[in-house]
Amino acid sequence: MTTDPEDGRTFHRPPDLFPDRPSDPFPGRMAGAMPGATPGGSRDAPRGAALAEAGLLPPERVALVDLLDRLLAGGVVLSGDLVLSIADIDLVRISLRALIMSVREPDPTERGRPD
Amino acid sequence: MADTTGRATTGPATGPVNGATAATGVYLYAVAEEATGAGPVDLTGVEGIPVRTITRAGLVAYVSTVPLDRFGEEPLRRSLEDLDWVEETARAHHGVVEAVAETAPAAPVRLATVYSGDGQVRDLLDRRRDDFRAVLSQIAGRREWGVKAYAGQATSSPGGVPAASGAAGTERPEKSEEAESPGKAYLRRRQASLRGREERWREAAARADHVHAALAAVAAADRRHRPQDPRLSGRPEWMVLNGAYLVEEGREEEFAAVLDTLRGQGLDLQLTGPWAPYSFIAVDFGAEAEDTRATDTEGTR
Repeated sequence: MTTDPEDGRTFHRPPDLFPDRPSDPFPGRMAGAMPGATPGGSRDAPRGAALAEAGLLPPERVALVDLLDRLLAGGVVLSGDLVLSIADIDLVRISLRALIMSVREPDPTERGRPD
Repeated sequence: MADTTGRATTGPATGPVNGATAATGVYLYAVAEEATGAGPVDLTGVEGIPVRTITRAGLVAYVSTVPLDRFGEEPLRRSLEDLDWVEETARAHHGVVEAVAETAPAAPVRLATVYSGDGQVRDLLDRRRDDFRAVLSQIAGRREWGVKAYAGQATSSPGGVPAASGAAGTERPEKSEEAESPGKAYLRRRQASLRGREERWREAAARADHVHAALAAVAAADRRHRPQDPRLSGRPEWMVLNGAYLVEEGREEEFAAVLDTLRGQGLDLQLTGPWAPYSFIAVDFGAEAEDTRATDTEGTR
């Protein structure tokens, strides 16, 4: 859907619906991998792994909500001589309302409620 | 509006031109230092429109010529109600910012910033050269990482409506005191449940503060975004931290190591990034800057 994922970078995770991984209460993922390792040594293996794993996601893998956090609350704000004078706060409200509505709308369980 | 000092780009919009209204505007994505090497090539931006550059004062603005019948103020207001449009535009904007940020320190511009012509953009680069320079020097060699923390419980926040009243009624403890009326018993259970939830919330919030402090200690700057609504995050748990960290590229390993040590302590930590440093240039270059916004971001050390 989005326009330009072809920027030549390599991505090592297959696309899935939510970049959010399922909840993992004990993410000591290397735990089983080092039977005799000293506690101190165990840290070397995962070092940087998390960053590498999460890095290099193609643009469409980024969760929209994370993106909007940044695009609507960050970045250089310019005003004055613009074509547009959309107040900052308006933009946030409008977009989030659109988001929330879209999240709610397709939920059939909501519509089937007797109340 | 009438400023068409730039190249006369004939955009696709030759539609209703009334009077002196120009049919196109200039959509601004990012401002970067003029790259010593080659910048990104063949970028496409919003609505698949090619991206071009405007160079001035050692700075490069990345822009697209956009039709005002879709990027004028009124059409934009309508479009912003359309989630598909918002998503496509946000992703296109992001795609350009990312590509630019890979080649040079770049300051992303907030979504949907449209000028009436190239001349205005050149003027902006002239007038704000020092401001842009200052911002760019802050973020050079650093990248933004996001860390979100979820508390394990899939319950509503203390402030919210308590999950259906049935939740309180499901576990019926055997009546220890026959004298207690069902109403009183209900209230007692209800209060206990609220207290328990508030306690869990406070604990989770304290853990989140700890996580944030530990990560911030390794970061050049930090910022906490508002926690995402479960309807938007897609996860029912409490989000207790929605942090952004500007990390020196040389300290990313360290940052990851610290993050690893924080895992498994009751919060589910989720890392996103690397991001272009959106969260750390929330500066307002407007004439009448509301200084409420920039304050929480100036953690730069």
